[in-house]
Formats: sequence, structure tokens, C-alpha cells
Amino acid sequence: MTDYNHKITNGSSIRGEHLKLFRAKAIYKAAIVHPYTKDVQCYVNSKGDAIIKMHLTHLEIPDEPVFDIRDEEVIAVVCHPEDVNMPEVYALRKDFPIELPHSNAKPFTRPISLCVSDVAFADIRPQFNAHDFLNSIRRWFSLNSINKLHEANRPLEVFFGFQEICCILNERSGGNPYIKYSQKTKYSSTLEFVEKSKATHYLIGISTEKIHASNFVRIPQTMGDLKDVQSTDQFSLTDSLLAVLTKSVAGKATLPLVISIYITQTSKDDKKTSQELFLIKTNCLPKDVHKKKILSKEAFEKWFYELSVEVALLDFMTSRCGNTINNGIKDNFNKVSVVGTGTLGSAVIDHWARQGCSEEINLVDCDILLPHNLSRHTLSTDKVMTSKVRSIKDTYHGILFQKINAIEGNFLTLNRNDRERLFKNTELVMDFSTSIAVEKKLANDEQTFRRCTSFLNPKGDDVVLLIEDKERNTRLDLLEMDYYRNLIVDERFSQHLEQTETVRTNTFSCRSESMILNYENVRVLSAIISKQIRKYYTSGQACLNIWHFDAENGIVLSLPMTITNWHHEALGGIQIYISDAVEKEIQTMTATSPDKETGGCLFGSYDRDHNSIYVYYMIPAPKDSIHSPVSFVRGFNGLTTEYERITKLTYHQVRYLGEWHSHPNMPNTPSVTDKKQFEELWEEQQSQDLPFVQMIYGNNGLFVTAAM
Amino acid sequence: MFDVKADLLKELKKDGLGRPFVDLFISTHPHDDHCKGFAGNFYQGKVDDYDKDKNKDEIIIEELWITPRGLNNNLSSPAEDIRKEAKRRRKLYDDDKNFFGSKGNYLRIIGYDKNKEFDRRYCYVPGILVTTVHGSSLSWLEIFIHAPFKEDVETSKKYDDKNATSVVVQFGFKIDGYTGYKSRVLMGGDAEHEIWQHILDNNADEEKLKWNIFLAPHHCSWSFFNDSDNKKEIKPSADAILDKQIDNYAHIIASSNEIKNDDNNPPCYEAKQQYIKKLKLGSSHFLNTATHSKVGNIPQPIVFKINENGKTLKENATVAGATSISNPAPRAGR
Repeated sequence: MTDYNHKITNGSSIRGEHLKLFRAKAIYKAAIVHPYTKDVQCYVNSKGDAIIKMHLTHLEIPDEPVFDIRDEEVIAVVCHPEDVNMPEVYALRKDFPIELPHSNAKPFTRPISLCVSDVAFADIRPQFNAHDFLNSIRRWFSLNSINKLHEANRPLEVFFGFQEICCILNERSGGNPYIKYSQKTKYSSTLEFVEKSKATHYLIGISTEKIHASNFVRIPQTMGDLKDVQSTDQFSLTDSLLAVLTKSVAGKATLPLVISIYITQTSKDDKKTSQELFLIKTNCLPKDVHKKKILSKEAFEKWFYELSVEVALLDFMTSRCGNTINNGIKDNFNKVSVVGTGTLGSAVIDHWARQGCSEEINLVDCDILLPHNLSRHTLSTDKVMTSKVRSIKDTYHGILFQKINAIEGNFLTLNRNDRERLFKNTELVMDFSTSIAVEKKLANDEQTFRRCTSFLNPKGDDVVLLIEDKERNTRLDLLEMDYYRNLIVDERFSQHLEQTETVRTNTFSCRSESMILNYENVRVLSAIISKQIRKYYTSGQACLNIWHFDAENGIVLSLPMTITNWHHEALGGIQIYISDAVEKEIQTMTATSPDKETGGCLFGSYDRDHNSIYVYYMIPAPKDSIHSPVSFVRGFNGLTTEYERITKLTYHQVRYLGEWHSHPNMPNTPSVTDKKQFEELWEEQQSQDLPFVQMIYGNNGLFVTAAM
Repeated sequence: MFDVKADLLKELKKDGLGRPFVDLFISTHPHDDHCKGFAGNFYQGKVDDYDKDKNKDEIIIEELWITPRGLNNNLSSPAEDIRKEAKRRRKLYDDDKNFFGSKGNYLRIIGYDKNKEFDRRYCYVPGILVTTVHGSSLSWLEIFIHAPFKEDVETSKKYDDKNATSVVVQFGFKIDGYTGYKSRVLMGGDAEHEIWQHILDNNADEEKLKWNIFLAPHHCSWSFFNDSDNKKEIKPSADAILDKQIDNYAHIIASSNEIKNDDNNPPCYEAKQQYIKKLKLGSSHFLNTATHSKVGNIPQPIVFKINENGKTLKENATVAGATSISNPAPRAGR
């Protein structure tokens, strides 16, 4: 390394007014009028650089500076014709201190190159101001004189300057020295621990002593430059490396050598610590070291110390924990399972995996990624026609300590092993399958994990979340029924299941995948669902909520739905669930007709797989009904219109289920007429493949009977 | 023109009632150029009578130092204002033997006065190290009093040489956690070379004359070096005092008009040249209040910050465009 590089600031003298470079001219002009600048001289060199030398006076330097900086210093500002980087600034004093914070390492000791700004010149350029530039140089001297240039709240400076960042892709096992090193771009590479036969390099790790940070970046260019770094009490990094090479590795390793160095820096007050891992690349083969040992000690050292080196900063592949920290996630899961990896499912998985929300994520789906899925799926085009779950697993494969299991199959027909893999120790099952059957199967599973289901409406501007409470008092199937009830009774949801002309769907479900959805909407709503699921899981409460995205105005509205309590009756093999909202309405109707019987129709849903009937809506007696103290004949005026309305609102999910009537001031025991009505209507319902429910409200409560 | 009041108000603290105050005001000697503007800018009278509207921005003096000559008759009107305030305070002490000072009423007479009995409650003499001001101990400052001496006070009376009674002090600035002074300032008002010689003759502790900052006496007058008409010979006292500068970074401040190469005195061009010659870092450490730093045409205060690294001369931050906005714009229009 040369001592003082005069060339860098030398040139032919020129009058400042005659400078050609715009940048140099501006600096010259600012310098000659600056109140604390004198003896401004200009030069140009053969490369076309302009050099402006000047004395900076009245620098704010205390009588007892930490570093030997004076209140008058001579500098040179070097402007290059390309003007793509900040003009270089050199402190010219021959004894100006070296290795000051924020001085640039150069292949020569002096003049000292000042790093006056750590902001990219491209960002400064549009508003560059020569006067401010000179002041920033003054600031460099003043703050460095009291060792305050590197602000207390800033991290320590990186120990070695580097031209390349290398990512370690996997964990090292058992001190394996074999790596596959791959250059990815001019400035980036990857390193993977592999078996010997696949290796490209041999890795040696050398530890170093804890180093007090100077906030000066070193740029080693030869093995000899590493001698300044202490490896142990007695040996430099270079010596330690040599010892490893000659004693344990030499002759054994035939691959090119790379060295990993772990540097721990601490601030002088021990309050700040930084740990950095560097990769020193050499063109040295361990066997060469072995061969060269026949040289004299001096000749060998000369050869070894002059071996050129390049430094790369090693960075570890992101890990699940790293992702949680980077995203500020605190509510972590051990294991969750996801059923359905379509539009919404893949988006939520993407959030959860990138945020490290769960150590283990199980995925179940039998779908493949079809070309049209690409318009709103997180997977990339190269995964088309592959299994969605396998490809999603591959996508996040590199995240260290993030376990993702792909179960390729239909959730409804999973074998025992896969079911066990899915459910064992799972804390939460998230259903994005858009299948009512999946949701019902989940609802009826007796295991203790929390479960939720979420889906988009046909227009893709609403997302619905149903999540059970911690104790499972409000099961998924009951939440679904409440969802329908809310669609019927709450005006806010009148557009929720509105279909568009472009819909391509069937009539079995409101959640068909083959609808036109806008991907922007999906990403907004999926982010909300992703967070809300974690929120409700943590709170332990049940949730039935819709979030509506008003894309035009960029507003998301939270629309909570009412969750009702459910009355359960088991009649033979039939499970009847009656929403207390219906019961209350029947009570009210009965109370308004204290002397005469009244009644109405019952609506809801049924599930033949689980022999369940859900009654959650009631229509009171139509106007043409006939009431008497001992009988009630339900009319039909307006019923068809109402049935059409609720069918539309719920997209065919609500059925007529039966009849109710009151026994004012009498027990709810069915009369002979009542029994006859039951038989007749049951027969009628049966012919249409529907169940039938009859309810009688008397002075002893509600009587329920049903047939499926 | 300086705008000292504005500069002062910018720096001064305010008390609980929002009134600006100084801990200590030293009236070095009763010359007009050291007393002008006292009335109107500094509050005179009982602090309880301070009227927020009437006395707006008048600075309360917690403790006032004055020389015996400043308390005598035959003073100009501005000096009389200070005398009046000092006499008001002295009366408080004289009327009550148990009075030791109170807010806005502390007084110290610096130097012996033959006409008055020495009263320890409010008199200081050369050789005293002051560590408390207005009843409070100063953790960051000590003041050593060098002058005026008894005989100089007498001379002053005899020949009406008010400069001879100048208060000469060394300020020693301390920083918590460090022993000794971090910076020392030697100030002598308008004291001329005879006074400095007396100080050298009487001084017992070399340290008390050392300085990091020296205020060029009598506005950079030649009288510090010799009698005004003799520019060739420099009295030994000047050399001795200037040799007391500490290390390499000491500053000399000339509180004066711009020092031009002419026959004016003060400020005296030859005096400036002598100071520069004596300073280890030469001209860069000789500062003139009139020219050191200006915003527009208004000279700015010279500010030193003293911390654990010693003193630092603060530069007036310059920003691009400041020149344009600190001067009237050139005439525009048809």
C-alpha cells in the first residue's frame, strides 16, 4: 500500500472561472464566497477530473479534540466528468489521522478520503447545493473531532467493506466443510452446504477476538491485509489461517478455499455490539500451501501474504423467526392446517408464511394450478398444472425453520394417516375451500382444535369470516346458519350475494370458485382475514363478520353480524337446531294474539349427511290466515314473494322447513288436528325431498317435532 | 451595528414569571462605552415592582459588581444609572446588618474603598476566588479577582483615570466529572499596561493568569503594550500576560470596531499585529467582534462552547441563500 498518493489530487493549475465541469464550477463558486474558506485553487488532470483545493477555516474543533483534527484543514474536492458519484473529498494534511470513522478505505494511506454523505448521490443530485456540500465537509471535520460523526443511535459500521453479498441457503451440519458456491449476479451469490461430490469449494471458519468498533471500513485486498485482525491473543487472522492450512487441512482438501470469518464488534462503551459473518474468497488451493512450504520462511510468507482476497458479506437465508421479527408478529402458532389453497387460501398462506406466524403449516387440497388460476393466485406461471399444495410448499421451502407439509387430496375423503397428520396437535384449522361440505365436516369433528372458515362473495368485494369460540359453544355450522339469517334480516347485506352477469357458477354454493374476482380486492381482503383470524384466535371469541371493500373510495368497512344462541333438540336420529331469534319472534307473535291461535312458516337449512335441521327464520301469519281460539289456518298471501326474496338474498341456501302455531293459554301438546297437519305436510315435503318441522308454542313452552 | 440586546435575550434564561435575568453583571469601570444602554435594557429597582408590560424585556440583574470608582460622584449619565442601582442595593445592606442579599438585590463592590469600611457581606478584594453568585454555588464557574488594587483606585480618583479601576478577572470554567478548569478566560476591561504590571507583581499563583481566551484590553488598544504614542517598545507585562496562553489553541478577542491599518487607537492595528504574533496559531485565532461573523451587515456574537473537550468556537451556521435574504433585495421595477 502506497503511503501518500499525490497523483489523486494533482493536476495542472487552472483559473476557477475556466473550469468546464458544471459540478466543479458550482463548488468553486460556493468556495470563494463561503465565509470560512480561503486559498481556493483549481486544477484539472488528464482524465478530465477537476480538483478544487481550499483551506477550511474556523472549523468547530475543541481545544482537546478526540482525534487530531485542527480548526483549519486543507482539502481537495475531486469532481469527475461522469458526475454519477458524490465528488470525492480528501483531507490533504500529511499527518491527518487515519482510520477515522466515515473515512473511505483506499489502496493508499493518504490523503484521507472523507465519506461526507451516506445518501446515494442519485438521491442528492437533483437538489445538490455546493454551499451545503462544503458545509457537510465542515460538519465531517467538526463532528469527527469529538468522535460524534457516527451518531450514537446508528448501528456500528460494517467491519469489512464488501463488493458482494452471499446468502447461506441452508444449515451446516456436523462441521461439513463442503459448499456449493454459486455466483448469481456480479454482486451476489449463494452458498449451500452440500455433500463432497457436489461441492465447488472448501470452507474454513476462523474466529476472531472481540474488536472495539472504530466505524472505519477496511477493504482487505491481500491475505497480508488481514494481519491487522486479531484471531486469538497471539495470532492474527492470517496466521491462524495459515496454521489451519498447514496443520489440519493441507493435502486433504483439493477444492479452492474460502474462509468464513465471524467478527464481533463492540462500541467502546460496550453498549452496542454487531456480529458479522464474512466470506473471504481466495484463489488459493490448500494443496498449493502444502507445496509452497518447501520455500524459505520469508519466500513462503511473501507468497502467502500477497495472495489476493475478495470479501463478501455473508447473510443467512431468512428464517421463520426472522420473518416474525421483521413483521412484528407476536401471536405465534406451533401448528396450523389450511384446507383449500385457491385464491383466498393461497393469499392467506402467503401472509402467514412470510410473517412466520406458525412453525408448521399443513396444506390440504387436491387442486392443480390451472392457467386461469394464475390471474389471482400467489403461485407463479412455472407452477401451472402442478399440485397447488406441493408448489406452495416449494415456494416457501427456503425459509429456514419453517415447516410446510403438503397433503395432496380431497379433505372430505382423506385417509386416516393424512387426517392424523393434518389434525394432530393442530391449534387451528382454516378452511378456505369454498365448500359447505368441508365446513360442515369440520364443524362436526369432535377434536378440540379451533376452526374457522372464510370465503369471498361472488363479486369479490366482501370477505366473510366464521370462527368458532375457544370452547366451541358456537360451532361453524351454526355460524353459517346465522350468516344466512343475517343476510335475510339485515339490510346492510342486501347486495352481498348479488350475482353479476359474468358469473359462471352452479346453484349449490354461494362460494363457487369459478367467478370473476378482482385480484386487487382479493389481496386487500385476504390481508384483513389473515390478521383477523389471529386476533380472534387470541381473544378466544367467536366471530361472524363481513368486511366490505369499497374499491372506488379505497375504504374497507367492517360489518359485524349477529350471532344467535341455538336451542338443540334431538328427535330420534334427527338433530334440530333452532335459533333463539326464531323462538323470540314466535313468543312475540303469540303474545300479540293472546286469545286466538296464530302461526307462520319456518325456514332454514338441513344437512342430510349429519341428519341436522337448522331453523333460523320465521314468517308470521300471512294476512289471509284464519285465527280462532282453538284453530289456525295459515294463509299464503305474500308468502311466495317472501320466499323468493330470501332465496335470492341467500342464493338458494334457505328452504321452507315447516309450520308453527300457538296454543294460547294451553299446553303445547299437539292436537289431533295438529298431528294430521304434520302427516299431510310431511308427505308433501317428502315428495319434494325436503324435511318437515312442526312447532307448537303453548303455555309450557315450545314443542318441536320433525321428520327427514 | 450590533444588536446586543437581541443577542442577549436569545441566550438568557427567564425566571418563573417569564422575566429575563443574568446571574451576574460586572461593571468593570464607569466609562460611557461600558455603561450606555444600562437604563432601559437592565431592570433597576425592587424586583417586586417589575411590571411585565412597562419593563418588558428588561433584564433583571441578580448580582451586580461595581468598582468603588463607579460609586463615586462626577460620573456621566449612563454610569450614573448603574451607580444609582448599586447605591439602592448598598442601602439594603447598610440599613440591615442581617441582610445578605436577596433576588435582584445582591451587590459586590470590587476593591478597597478608603471612604467606606470594608464589609464582608458585599465587598471583594483582589486575590479572592469567587465560587458563589447571588447566594448560589456555581458548579461550572469560578472567578478569580485580580484587580482593581487599592493604589490604582486612588490613582484613578486623583487623575480621574477610570480605566485604572477596571475589574480584572479570570473565569475558570469547569465540567462535571473533570477536575480543574476545562477553559479559562482572562478579561481586564480597559486595564492598561501599568495595571497588568501590578497584577503580575502581586500575583502569587501562575495558574490564575493563564488563559484559553483573552479579551484584548481596552478594545484592542495599544495601551496594553505601552503608552499610546510609543509603538516600538512593548512593556514586559504584555509579553508576560500573552505568554500565559494555554497550549496551541488559545484565542484573543478584540471587542472593538473593525481594526483597520490606520492610526486609530483603539482599536490599534499594531496591537492586533502584536497579538497575532504572540498567538500560537496566529491570525486564525485572533477574532474581532465587528468582523468575525455577520448576518447581513449585523455582526454576530462570538460564541464558544465549553464541554469535556475544552472550548470550541461555534461557527455561525451558513445556509445556501442566506446572503440573499439577509440583505435588501436590489431595486426592482421600472
